[in-house]
Amino acid sequence: MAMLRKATNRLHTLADRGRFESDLDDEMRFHLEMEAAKHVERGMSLGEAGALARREFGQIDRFKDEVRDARGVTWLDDLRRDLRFGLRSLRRSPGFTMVAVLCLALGIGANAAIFSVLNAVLLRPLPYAQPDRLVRVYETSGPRTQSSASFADFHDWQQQSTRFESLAAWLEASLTLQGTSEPERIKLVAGTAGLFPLLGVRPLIGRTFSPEHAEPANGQVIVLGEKLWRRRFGGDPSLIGRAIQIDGSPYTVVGVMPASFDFPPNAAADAWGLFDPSPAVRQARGGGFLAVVGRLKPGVSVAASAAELRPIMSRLEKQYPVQAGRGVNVLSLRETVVGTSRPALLVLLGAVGLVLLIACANVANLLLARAAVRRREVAVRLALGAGRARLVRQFLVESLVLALAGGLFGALLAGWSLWALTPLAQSALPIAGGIPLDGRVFGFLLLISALSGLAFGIVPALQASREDVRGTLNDAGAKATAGGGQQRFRNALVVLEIALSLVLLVGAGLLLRGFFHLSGTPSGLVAEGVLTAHVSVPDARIKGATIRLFQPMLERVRQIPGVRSAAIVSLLPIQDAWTNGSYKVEGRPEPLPGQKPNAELRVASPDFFASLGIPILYGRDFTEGDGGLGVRRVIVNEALARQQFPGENAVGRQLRIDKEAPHTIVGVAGSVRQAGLDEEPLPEIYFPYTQVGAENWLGEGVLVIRTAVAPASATAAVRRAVQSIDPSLPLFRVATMEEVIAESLAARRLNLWLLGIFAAIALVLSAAGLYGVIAYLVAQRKREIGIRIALGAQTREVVGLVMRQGGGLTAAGIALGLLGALAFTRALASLLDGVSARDLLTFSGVAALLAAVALLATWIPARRAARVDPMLAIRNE
Amino acid sequence: MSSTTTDLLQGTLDLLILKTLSLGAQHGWGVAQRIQQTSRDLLQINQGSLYPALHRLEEQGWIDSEWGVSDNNRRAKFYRLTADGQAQLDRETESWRQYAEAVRWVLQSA
Repeated sequence: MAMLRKATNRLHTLADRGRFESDLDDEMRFHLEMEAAKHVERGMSLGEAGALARREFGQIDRFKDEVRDARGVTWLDDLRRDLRFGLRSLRRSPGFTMVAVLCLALGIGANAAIFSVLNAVLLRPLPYAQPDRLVRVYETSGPRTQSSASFADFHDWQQQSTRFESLAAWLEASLTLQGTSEPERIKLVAGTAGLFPLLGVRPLIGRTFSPEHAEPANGQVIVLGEKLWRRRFGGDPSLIGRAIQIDGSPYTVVGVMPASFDFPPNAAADAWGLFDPSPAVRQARGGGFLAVVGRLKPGVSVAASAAELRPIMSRLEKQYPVQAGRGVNVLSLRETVVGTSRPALLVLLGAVGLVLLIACANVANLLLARAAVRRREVAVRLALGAGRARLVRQFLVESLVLALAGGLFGALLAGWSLWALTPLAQSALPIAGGIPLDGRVFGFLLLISALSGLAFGIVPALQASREDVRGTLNDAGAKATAGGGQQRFRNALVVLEIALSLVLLVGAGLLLRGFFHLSGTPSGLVAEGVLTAHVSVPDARIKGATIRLFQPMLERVRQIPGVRSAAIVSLLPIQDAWTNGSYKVEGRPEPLPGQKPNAELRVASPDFFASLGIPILYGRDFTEGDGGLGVRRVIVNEALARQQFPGENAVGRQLRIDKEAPHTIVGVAGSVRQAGLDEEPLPEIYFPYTQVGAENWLGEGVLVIRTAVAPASATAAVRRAVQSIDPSLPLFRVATMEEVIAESLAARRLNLWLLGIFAAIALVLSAAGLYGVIAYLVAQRKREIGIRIALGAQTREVVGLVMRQGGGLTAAGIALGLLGALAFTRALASLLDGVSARDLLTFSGVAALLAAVALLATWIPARRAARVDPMLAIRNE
Repeated sequence: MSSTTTDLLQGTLDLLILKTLSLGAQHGWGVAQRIQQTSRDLLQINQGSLYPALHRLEEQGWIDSEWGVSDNNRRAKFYRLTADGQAQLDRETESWRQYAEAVRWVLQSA
């Protein structure tokens, strides 16, 4: 209680300082007047009485100070004074201040930004109820560990497993939203009835689906996402219960989900629908197209749930031979979201740590150097009677000001870099929405920097107050080194900085080489001058689409001036996920179940290969006539031909796909790296789009148009051509082929940028650190250098003298750094494509770069040393 | 360059102030007069050092202050003893008594 009253008293005093001071003044003045009056009564004159009273009172100001001390207001005055003094001394050495603040800002700011990105990807909780209990259930087939499941399997899991609280399945589809405004593509996630209850997120308005709620027998229902609802429907709540047109069918809107909700994670889905499988889909086995999510019962581990599902799959394998070789794989939902980006992010985390370390080392170095320079000042002040505690506190305040300034600029830098990095990051990482600057991270970094600043800031004060004051004030004292120990420590810091920079630079260099290697990899097609555009035809109208829509469409497009050729394909290489199936070579013995060869299946129109610059190695391209009744022709790619018909000509051979009649190979096309530039080409089978049933695969086809002019300029004309055939068909995901390839490299490019930036920062900081140390050494030896010059030493000799010192530090740093790099780059191995983690060229190149920079940082103060006026140097400073 | 009173004297001064105020509320000058009178001028202190002591005692909650009007119609700050202060006074008085007793005892034994 007493403490509380004490605290409030203090606050009152501080709050109304003016009143406190005037009261104090009044009180003492009263005393003096009474005392003087007493003397006057005894017969003294007024003047004498006043003088006597004052004399007997003692020094008023001293007692006022003691009162202020007793009241606890002195600390505030002291603080204010320390602050002013600190700011002034920082202003007087602008070079030091700027460099120190810059180092801190770089260390704090850039790192805070990266940590925020990491937080957004790795740490942000998923927007569902108890997300840690959510898992993804995949089927496995051969080398594929994350395959889609069939509805029948999913249903069996639901019925037979006990370790899941619930299971749900979904698939994604792109559909066209029609209506009064322009038709628009939306991403629809169609899920089983149990999906929303499993996720446990409440809708913004209306309701979601659930197994209990019986949906109307006619028509379909849909739950909109808030973004779509606001953008397209103006956030109209009366939309609930009304129907909207999607792909020609009415969907009744039953609810809206809040903008913070997205499922599957980071999919940017526009709306959610109910998945109602047809009887054929319900029974199909041997692989499917569904994604499955499950909620584990409390206390059940991921491994335990997988262990329960595996025997179920084995049973199914025996029951249905077509399931042969299919297993099950369970991963936590978070893992699936984060998994692929984790290695890269962890590497960045390492880089972040290194840069912070270098920045702190630099600041420490700067402060120590400055302290050494101020030893004289400290000694003088101690001699004049300043209290040691007071001095320490003052240095602390100065360091704190520095840290806060660094923090302020760091915040600005962080904000700016997040703004600049976000688009780049979003294209490569699973982030939806903006990346906020993580306050906790920023505070943590600020704390570290402040602490290191404080620690190295008070060292001089503590040290100075202990040593011989007189010694320092002597002439000779100015020459004495600031303790060999301290100098060695500073040298060690610089060596460490150089080493760390080398590690970062090597990492960045390796990534750079890997990136160029990858982007230089021949893709198998010619990307220049090709425009691609997606066109989708709703299921209801896909029958006969080839004749009705695609053929006239392509005809129109070919007539656009500047277009050399045009075609349509079911999936664009490099951009899209694959659809594969198994096949069998005709005339060969039946392969064992689970060992049937797999190939990517595609549907293409004639001219497809020519449009993408894929060579036809043997045989011929499709013609429009390759799809008549009874005609079954395919084109395979070179990878398949090599696999199945090594050394022979594949043309004329036959393949059997599913249970249909055999298909004849009429051509062999060059292989394309469909799955990405870092993967080997997969075997492919192409069907002509005129073949019976092939058009079903073109529900979302891609137009491939080779132009003589810049491809982007043809976009409007192509759109007009397509809409002249059918205005309700939107054209979307329009991009040049070069852009498609570039986007596939986006993740790598991001890593490269980030690591490169860090390496550059590290280089700059280390160079600055080295420069500072050498400059200080030169200042220390000014006298000696002056004497040497006076004795006739040449500029060259002096420069050499100084640079030898710098060179020694640099060499040590590089050696240490090379060792560190060998260890660090092992962690990078998974991110390097085709480049060894011990690539000699990179290592030696970086070492040379660092040596050159260090040389420069040493040379500048060395040159200055050589220009020292010997007379000035020998005389006392 | 530290304050005029050593720790020992500071404690003594505090005690004297508390004792004086136990006899009734008083302003700073009044306390000074009282101490001079009752100690028969034996205890000479710089009058100014009274004020840090008063403020310190008030910070510790043993005395309270209030602005009022003096006998001669001047504005003055009056101090009075609090309950905590009274308890402190009793404690200090007792320990002084014991101390004086012990010293007397030591001096008496030859």
